[in-house]
Amino acid sequence: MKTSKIIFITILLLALGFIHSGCNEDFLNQDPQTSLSDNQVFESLDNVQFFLDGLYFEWRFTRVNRRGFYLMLGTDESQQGEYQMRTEAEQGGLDKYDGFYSEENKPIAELWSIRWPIVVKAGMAIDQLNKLLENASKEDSARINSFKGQASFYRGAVLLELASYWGELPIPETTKNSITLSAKRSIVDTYRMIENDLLTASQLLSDKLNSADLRIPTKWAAMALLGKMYMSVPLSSGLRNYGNAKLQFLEIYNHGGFSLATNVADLWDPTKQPGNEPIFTFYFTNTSPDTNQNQWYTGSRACAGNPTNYIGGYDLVLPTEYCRNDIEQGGLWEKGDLRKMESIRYDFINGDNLPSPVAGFGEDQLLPHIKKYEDKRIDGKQSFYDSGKNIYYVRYADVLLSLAECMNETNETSAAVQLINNTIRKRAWGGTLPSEYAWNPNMSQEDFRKNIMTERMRELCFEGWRRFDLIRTNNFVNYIKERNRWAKEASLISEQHIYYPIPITEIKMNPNLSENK
Amino acid sequence: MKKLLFILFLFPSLLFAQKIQVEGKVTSSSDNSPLMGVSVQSEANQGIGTITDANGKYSISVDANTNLKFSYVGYKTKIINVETKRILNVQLDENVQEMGEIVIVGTAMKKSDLTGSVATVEGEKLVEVPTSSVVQALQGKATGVYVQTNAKPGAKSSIKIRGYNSINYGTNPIFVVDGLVIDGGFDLINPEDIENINILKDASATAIYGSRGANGVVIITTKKGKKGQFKISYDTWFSTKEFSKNIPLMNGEQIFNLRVDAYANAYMDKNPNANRQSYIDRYLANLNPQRNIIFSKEELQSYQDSVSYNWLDAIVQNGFQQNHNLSFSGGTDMGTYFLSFAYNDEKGQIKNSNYTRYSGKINLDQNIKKWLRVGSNNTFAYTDENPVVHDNTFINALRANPLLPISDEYWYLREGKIDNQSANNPLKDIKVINDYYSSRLMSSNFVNIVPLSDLNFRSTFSLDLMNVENYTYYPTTSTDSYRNAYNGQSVHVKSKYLNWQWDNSLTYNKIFNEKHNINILLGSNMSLYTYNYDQQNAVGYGNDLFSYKYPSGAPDKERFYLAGDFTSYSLMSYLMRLNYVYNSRYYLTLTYRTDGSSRFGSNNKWGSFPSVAVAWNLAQESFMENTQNYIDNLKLKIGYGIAGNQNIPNYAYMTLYTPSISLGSTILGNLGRYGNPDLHWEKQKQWNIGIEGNFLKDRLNLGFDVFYIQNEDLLMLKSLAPSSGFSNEISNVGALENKGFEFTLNAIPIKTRTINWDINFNISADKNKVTKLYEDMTEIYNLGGWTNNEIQREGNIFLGKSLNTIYVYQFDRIVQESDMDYVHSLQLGSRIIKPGDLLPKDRNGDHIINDLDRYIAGKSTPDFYGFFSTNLNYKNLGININTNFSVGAKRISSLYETLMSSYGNGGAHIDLLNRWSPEHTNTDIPRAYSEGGRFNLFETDWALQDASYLRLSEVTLYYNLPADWLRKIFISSLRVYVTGDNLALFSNYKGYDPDSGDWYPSSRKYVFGLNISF
Repeated sequence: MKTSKIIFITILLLALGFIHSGCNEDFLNQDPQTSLSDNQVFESLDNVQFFLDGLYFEWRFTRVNRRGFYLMLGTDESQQGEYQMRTEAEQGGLDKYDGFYSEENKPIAELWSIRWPIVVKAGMAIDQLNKLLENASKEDSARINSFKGQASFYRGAVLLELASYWGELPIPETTKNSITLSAKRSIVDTYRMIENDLLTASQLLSDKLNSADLRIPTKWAAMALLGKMYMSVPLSSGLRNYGNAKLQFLEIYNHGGFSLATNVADLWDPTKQPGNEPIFTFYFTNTSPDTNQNQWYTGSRACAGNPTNYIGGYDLVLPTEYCRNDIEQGGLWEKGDLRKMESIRYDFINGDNLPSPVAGFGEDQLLPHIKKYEDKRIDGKQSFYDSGKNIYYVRYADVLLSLAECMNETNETSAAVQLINNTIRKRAWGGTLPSEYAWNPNMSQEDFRKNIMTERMRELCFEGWRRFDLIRTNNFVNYIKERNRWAKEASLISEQHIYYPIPITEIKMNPNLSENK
Repeated sequence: MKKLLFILFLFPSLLFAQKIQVEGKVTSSSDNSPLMGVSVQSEANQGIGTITDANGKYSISVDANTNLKFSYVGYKTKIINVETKRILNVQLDENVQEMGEIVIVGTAMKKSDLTGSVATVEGEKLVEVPTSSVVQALQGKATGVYVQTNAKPGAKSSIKIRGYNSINYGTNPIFVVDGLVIDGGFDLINPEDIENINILKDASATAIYGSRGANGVVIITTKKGKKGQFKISYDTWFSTKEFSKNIPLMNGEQIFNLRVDAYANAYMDKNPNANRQSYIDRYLANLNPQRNIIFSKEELQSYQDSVSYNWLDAIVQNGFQQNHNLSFSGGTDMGTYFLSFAYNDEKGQIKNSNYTRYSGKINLDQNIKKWLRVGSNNTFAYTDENPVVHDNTFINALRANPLLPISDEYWYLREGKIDNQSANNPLKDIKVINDYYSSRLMSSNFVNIVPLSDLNFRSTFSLDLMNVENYTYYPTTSTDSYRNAYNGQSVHVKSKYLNWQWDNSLTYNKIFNEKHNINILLGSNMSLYTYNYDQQNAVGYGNDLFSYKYPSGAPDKERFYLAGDFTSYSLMSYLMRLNYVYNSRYYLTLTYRTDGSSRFGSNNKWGSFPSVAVAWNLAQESFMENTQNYIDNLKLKIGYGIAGNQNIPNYAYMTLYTPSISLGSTILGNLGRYGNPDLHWEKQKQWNIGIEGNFLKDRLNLGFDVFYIQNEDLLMLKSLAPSSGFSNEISNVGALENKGFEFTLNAIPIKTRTINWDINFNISADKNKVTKLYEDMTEIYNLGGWTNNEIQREGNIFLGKSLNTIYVYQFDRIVQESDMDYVHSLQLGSRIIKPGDLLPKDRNGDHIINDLDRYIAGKSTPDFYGFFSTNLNYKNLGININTNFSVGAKRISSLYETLMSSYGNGGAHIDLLNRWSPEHTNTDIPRAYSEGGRFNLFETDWALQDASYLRLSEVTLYYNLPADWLRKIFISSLRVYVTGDNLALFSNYKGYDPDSGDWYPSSRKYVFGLNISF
């Protein structure tokens, strides 16, 4: 009896020891069941497109919700609403350029913070992909190169945004598993990196008009950004080169196969197709997580009583007086320009929904509002919070305008005028440009510069390029001071405000930035 | 039948045999304490028997020369021949394996072997407070244990042992229920089932739990049956609940004046040359609703009728709670059992909110062979709750505009002519259906084998399974449905937690030469924790016919939302422990363990945690012989050890990409966390020195402990520079020092046959300081707010300061006309400061008011806290009083701040009646103002509240019915009591409760209860 007991115990103990030591390491490896580690993502090429589409999503996120409009505040085409101005002091700083326009400004910090993840992750992906390329089969190489083209595009494009609004950037060194923070790099170094990325992208990306997955950028998108980069890099760097820019745009013009949508209205009607005009688009729908909530911020509070009234919203950002008025009133618009009514809403009656301004929430509730984000698909069905119209990042009209601008800068002014008359302005008047509105081919180079800036606002207002255009043409201070209500009232804007300050969170946490040293 | 015959057969012999009456006292051989409930039986005739009373006394009538068998759980059974003695006093020896046995992971050990710091709360003490929550019942019961209750129904109370020892992760202790480790869902444990709770506080005591013990261990032992004691108990109580405090609010007329004042002030700021009174008459106080720009028609009507509407009254009701508990227990030499069934039902204080719990317990223990014992402890609990769906419903109703007539027609609460879209109409909110069901099975099963004497092997397999189902339905008429244009929305969330745990231990216990007691333990543990959930939201119902029960009836498939996840983590450990006791005088405990956690990367999974503790019982020394009359026990103890913490989110050592769907295809995204492969165990190096003494035959007990804890390699959520592309990583950074003391005193000043008076007092203090942060950081800010970039008032970490600071501006003054020159000399950003507005102090004197002027104005943890309780009984009648106190903590009262920021739009605190105006300048309350841009009171230390308090937490009056009467109706004891809970609170705190906070008031309860046993 006793012996058998002891044997029994011994077996138990042995079993125990065996189990414990045997599955020791396995037991303590509890891997995630619903996510992949960074290395796992690149273990199979089939995962990489998901990762890249994730970068697209993240970049698109910079256009979603309130943050999508910070870049438009404090320009000469748009400004924030009265109630916002009264209640959000820091956000107010973006229009007033006052004490709140500082390194501690939170909206600026957000604009900064949401862009770096794309830069860094694209950088990590490029390193992973370069390593994969070393031993890849021919077939795989083609795929890997396409992936690398996309990652380079995203990094270049986002760095271009950051550099345009902040100048010198502390771009970190990235490898597949490491990130090394950096001090500010010079303008030359910063733009060289952007140039490299966009060149790589334009070489590796597809030259088709569209990719099967609409998100995937094409060679043409990379070239358009490269052109924009050459014409916007600060003059002081010596890198600005309108000739190079022109080459990019000409290539798109001659070989891209793009064309303007016939009707301006088709661009802004979410139920219509814009034809071959878009070059790179942020796609949205009316279903989370693909909504952009843009209307919530651009619509009128006077129409927000019914949440399914598609023109309702909360007056975050409105057109400036200059941008909403006709030329006769010292404003922007010429008679018969179809773009005016497509860009700006002047009347606020929507069927049975009559506007009713809410006392105490600003006197501008029924002043003209931005119309380009209205999404009538939700009317009567969904809250305007679910608005989700596509946002064009670069469209062919911009390429034509930019091409003309480069031509003017390279002393081809009259050809540039012809191009604008025959394309952009012709369409704006519905296909036939009345002669009194045709630009004079004999205008001076300087006049053209002025006119093209105005024409860019008519064509591209509220699409997010105005700040970029004001900075690169050195019109930032003079136009904003004159046309933005809040900046004009405060009268504080000066050259020092052209670049956003680097946020305090970066300065405090990045040991390479000078304040720490 | 056989038995009956046997008794009948025996009967004559009983009558005629020579009977003697034997009396005596049964005591424990170790400390001479009387043993109650010892079974005294005739060995020959088991029908004859009795049990000892509370003083260990027994009296039995048996034949001379009978063998009497004395048996008692935890002691070795003794058989003694009575011969012809009339007095037979018996000492029983402890059965080392059972005595004071507390079951800790995988092993059973003697409580007195714990040389570390342990606080014990007996079950009967625990149920003094009639509550269904075990954590709440622990409040004010043990030193070094700080329970912060949360008054909101369904919200969890927090419990801290010896303050804060970690920055972000795991400052709560773990609970061990009959050997099963749980770290959540404590409220499913029925306090009535608890035999006792032991709270392990220092590293030596918690060493046995190494991996999880860094923040203390709460060991719950549930009731077991006792040998020879068959018992049926029925316990019940009923209670009513009412709010213990009302906030003084302005009435409708006062609100009217406040709003007029606020708008007029804002207007005058912009139009300094305008005529204030005529603006008021024309636009603000004009009773014509067409002309008035700030009041609606309804509000003007209320004002004219002098009515104030109390929205809160419209959604609250008096609560009622009932609790029933029935248990059966008993046992024989072969085994014991304990069964219980409980029912708890609570009608909440907000209409339509309820809580019901059903629970059952089965504890079994069986000796199968001499060498084999098995047992199983099982608890099942099921709750059915209907909490209010939104957290802010109560507050919305409280701060609703009193001029607004009560109606469920509005979507939102209206303020003037505007809907306040962040405040749903509370009457609509309470109609949202919210059903929350949880069921939990906790089962701990052991096999105990004694292959050789002195050697004990125990293997325990435990299972903890919890299923939660939460169903919500937002009717088509609800504000939520309206806002999102859902046309009726149902939300189903189901989750499952499953944890299994396997523990093995081998114990060797031997006494050499009567003086050397050695106990060696080897143990191992494996635990696996899994969790998964799934969720479906369906929208577009168009009617409210079947609420959430029929999602197929929701047509808007495009806007359905599906989610789910599966996670798991695991722990393993090996343990060695040596206990050595020399002659009941010198104690030594050595422990060494290694723990592995799946939460760390492959090179860092394992950590080692040694500890050592020694104790010296002076009372047993020969030189103390003279004092033995009044010193029963005097023990000095000192211990040092390292405990570990791994309580971080899973998978933090990897950078993860999680799939989601966008534009119809999969995308991979990272949520901002950067994986840190170097993550490793956080370590708590703990020192404990203590002294405990029992004096005057246990009439006076004193205990004093000091501790010093050096927390190193603290696991922390570290924000990363934005240009790194990730927002945070979890990292081992920094160090935190925590020190404090605990003092406890129990005394029995009066102890006679009829009167008994005892007193318990204890006080604890702890103080922490951050001693190191990563790199050269001297502060880490907690950023939040709508841009996630604003420095928050709490949660910032400063080197050299407490972890629990509150960081704000210093209140300087309310600006008067005469201060305006000074104000103009300051840079205020875009802030507006006019006479009557608040000015923060320019602390650094640079004439710029910015973040650099903020300072640490206090901390949210108390300097010390404790409790005082006393029990006085005269014969069968008694009174029991519990109080607790906390001193030195500051607290932010968001409620008071909200009510003080009012400009007459919503409710306002009456303190605002004392606001600044040109006629009333001697005040510290700013003028009314309807717009933004000023400094707010809550940005300064002005708003910081003193959260010190003294609470009369319970007073219980009880009566034990006389045993003589009860015996006639076959009842062995019956106790009736009434309790007043939370009867009085002394505090300067302006919000609801300095302890449980603001978003829901604490309650006062009146309880009537009854305990019966058969």
